[in-house]
Amino acid sequence: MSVIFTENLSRSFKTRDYAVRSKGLKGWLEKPVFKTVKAVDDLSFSIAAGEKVAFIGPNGAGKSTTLKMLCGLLRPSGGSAQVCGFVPWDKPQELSRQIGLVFGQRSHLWPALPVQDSFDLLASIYNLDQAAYAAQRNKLIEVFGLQDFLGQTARTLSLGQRMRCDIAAALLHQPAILFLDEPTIGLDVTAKALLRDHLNKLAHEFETTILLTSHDTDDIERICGRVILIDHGKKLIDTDLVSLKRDYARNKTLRLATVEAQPRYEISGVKIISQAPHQITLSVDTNIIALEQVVADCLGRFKLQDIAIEDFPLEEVIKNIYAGKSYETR
Amino acid sequence: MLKRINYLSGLINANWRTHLLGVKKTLFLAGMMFVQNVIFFMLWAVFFHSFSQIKGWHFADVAILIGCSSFSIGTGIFFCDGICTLARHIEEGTLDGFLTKPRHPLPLLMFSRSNAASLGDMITGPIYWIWFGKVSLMKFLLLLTVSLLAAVIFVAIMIVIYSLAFWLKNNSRFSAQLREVMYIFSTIPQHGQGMVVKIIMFTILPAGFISLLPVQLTQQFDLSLFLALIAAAAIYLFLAIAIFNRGLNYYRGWV
Amino acid sequence: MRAKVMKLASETHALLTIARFGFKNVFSTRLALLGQFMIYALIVAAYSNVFYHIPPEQLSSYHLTVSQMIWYIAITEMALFCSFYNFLDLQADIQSGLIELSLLRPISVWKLKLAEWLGGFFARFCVLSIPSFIVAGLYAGSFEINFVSVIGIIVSLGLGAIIFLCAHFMVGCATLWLKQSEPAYWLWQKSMFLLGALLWPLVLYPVWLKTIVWITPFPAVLAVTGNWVIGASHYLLIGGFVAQLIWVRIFLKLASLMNKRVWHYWQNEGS
Repeated sequence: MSVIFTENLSRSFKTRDYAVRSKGLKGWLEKPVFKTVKAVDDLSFSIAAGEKVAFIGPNGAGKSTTLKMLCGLLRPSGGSAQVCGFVPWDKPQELSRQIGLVFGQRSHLWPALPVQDSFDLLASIYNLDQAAYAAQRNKLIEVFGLQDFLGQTARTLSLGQRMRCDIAAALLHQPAILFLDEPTIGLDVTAKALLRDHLNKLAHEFETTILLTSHDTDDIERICGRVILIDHGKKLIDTDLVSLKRDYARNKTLRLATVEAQPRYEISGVKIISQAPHQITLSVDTNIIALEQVVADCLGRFKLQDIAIEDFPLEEVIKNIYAGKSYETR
Repeated sequence: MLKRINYLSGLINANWRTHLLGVKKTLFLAGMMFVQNVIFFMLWAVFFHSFSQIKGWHFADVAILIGCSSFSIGTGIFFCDGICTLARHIEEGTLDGFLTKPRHPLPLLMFSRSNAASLGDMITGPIYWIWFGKVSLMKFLLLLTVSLLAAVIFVAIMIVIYSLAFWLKNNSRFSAQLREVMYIFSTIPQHGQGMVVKIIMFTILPAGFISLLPVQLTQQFDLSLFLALIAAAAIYLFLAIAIFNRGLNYYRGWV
Repeated sequence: MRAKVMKLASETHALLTIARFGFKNVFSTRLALLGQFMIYALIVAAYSNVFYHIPPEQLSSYHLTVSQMIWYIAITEMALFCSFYNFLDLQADIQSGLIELSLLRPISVWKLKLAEWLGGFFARFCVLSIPSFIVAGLYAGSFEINFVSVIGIIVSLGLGAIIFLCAHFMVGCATLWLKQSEPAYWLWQKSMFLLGALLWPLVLYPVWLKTIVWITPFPAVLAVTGNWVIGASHYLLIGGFVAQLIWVRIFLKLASLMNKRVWHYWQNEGS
């Protein structure tokens, strides 16, 4: 059953075009010229309960605008949407009980209050049953590892700690859907890994639907099973992660450790990425030559000490899609 | 000397150009500040509707007092609003950006920001002098001169107040409150105060130079008082720079 | 009907919790409170000095004494100092986009903010009231208050605070249209000082101005509270109380409407 459903969703913004304005006093007296920017254009998709979806695209693609329409913060210029059975922009406060929001830099926590107090305050605002709230809160504290800083004020927390608290705060009222807008932005590698683990535990524990926007491909790979890619407000791709890599990544990376000191390899469809004594890394374009053929060839040419086959990094896949180098299904 | 003047005027010009780029906003803020000043001043019009004088001062004298303090403070804040950010820069560790330039940090800091709304205060002064104070041309010029000197004293005391942050940690709020105390004593007629308060108003918190003295000079010009004002401006400025430098050396760990 | 009552009860409980946190929050800045009190005491001192130099015969023609004038300004300034610059809090939320999280909560932003700010107002009142009364008594040389007037002042302050804070909410929301709400605040504040008779009682105002001010909400914020210490008639005190109740109703409605306008603006224009 779909918890999120959109059909032909569009949103345009009118912005003032200062570039056409004359300089000086003449410019003050001229009638302002506006231009229309289409942030979201004819977007349709649906998300079932329990799915974990990455909503990605380059800067200015329309991700945050779409997220805001789904939360009810923006009214679309056209199209329709339903989230948990509500039309978001018509009933935002009713919908707020069904969704949790984590918007990167913006915190649910009151800066001057201890984290525990912020949680209690949110429980009050959402009118949560005390017993249910206590059980949920304790579970979230355990899942996100918040025991050590519950008594600290929010402004004294590190960014990673604050993010974990924010996600826990967004889940206190047991929402069906969690919207995450750049949740790992600004976090170091360790903090990111910790947060991803917690989100996976959360999804497993509470069966929460997750819609995540992020520029970090590790976020996508480690949390989500499905990717919706948009650019200039339009949906380009809507597929699961495995299919994305299979259908849109034609290159494989082959790392060889050889007995030969200076291994060389030249064949059409194969590029040398790097070379070092007794080592060579090759990029195989599987549209031109089959991987197994290259492997067989290398086994014949070199005395191999080690061989590793790697997928083309997801980051490169997405970069190529943004750049318009869309590699269709083999 | 000419190079130094060019450099300082360049800093001031940068702020002016910023205001011109958003001229509608500048005019709006200045206009609103002026309107709010006039609305507040009407309280004194109400007061003098009911009472003829307070210890010899009439409505025109209060108008001159408030006009002088508005003009002096407004001029000080318009040109040197950056000094009010000193305590915050020290707290946040962002002062280093000023210390790594090949110039003394004080002018850089002072002229790093300009408050557009203060233009409204600057306009308030002359309008009050003319409209409510009904001063002659000579007195107007005298008030202008005296208020400019008072502006120098105001800026100097702001430098001292905000330099306290070099020694007292996390005191940006305290500095802001001391500034408010200056405003209070500059904009309320305190000519009836006792000797102790008057000494404070002409020394530690020189609100007396900003408001009381100009009114006194308008009522009865006294050359020695006028020269005392010039001397006070020079002394306060000298002391302010000395305190700032001392604080800076302390901050850098050189003391 | 039952559902409505349950909803009201749960909302009231939530708002009281928020108010409690607003109350606690004030005490996290104790030094700032002390600084505020010092400034308050200086203002009362500065104006006391002015009042002592009013010609006595002119003052008595308005049936006022210097002591009453000092107490009056002590009370009105205390109302001001309890209120703080709450609109800046809302301005910061709008400018940073944090308002989005507040908008998407089951309880409206205006109710949440009003509850939090009222809690803060009450906290400041608890801290400042007794020292303020002492300061006023010391400068005035006498105490113009009794049990009844203290109760009257407290009730009046509370009602005035609701009007004041609703206005702060609307001024803060003006950030959406003005980008910076300070100009709106300056106009509101100075109008309140003049038409709310911050510094001296309305009895000193010209007749035509006295008539005009009662059409505005400003006397309900300050002058009505100050009337309890200048020997105002029962008629004036009761009339002031009624005026406050009317303006409280109006301002609560206006704050609610402003909240809807904010929603409308945000949904249509974006951040």
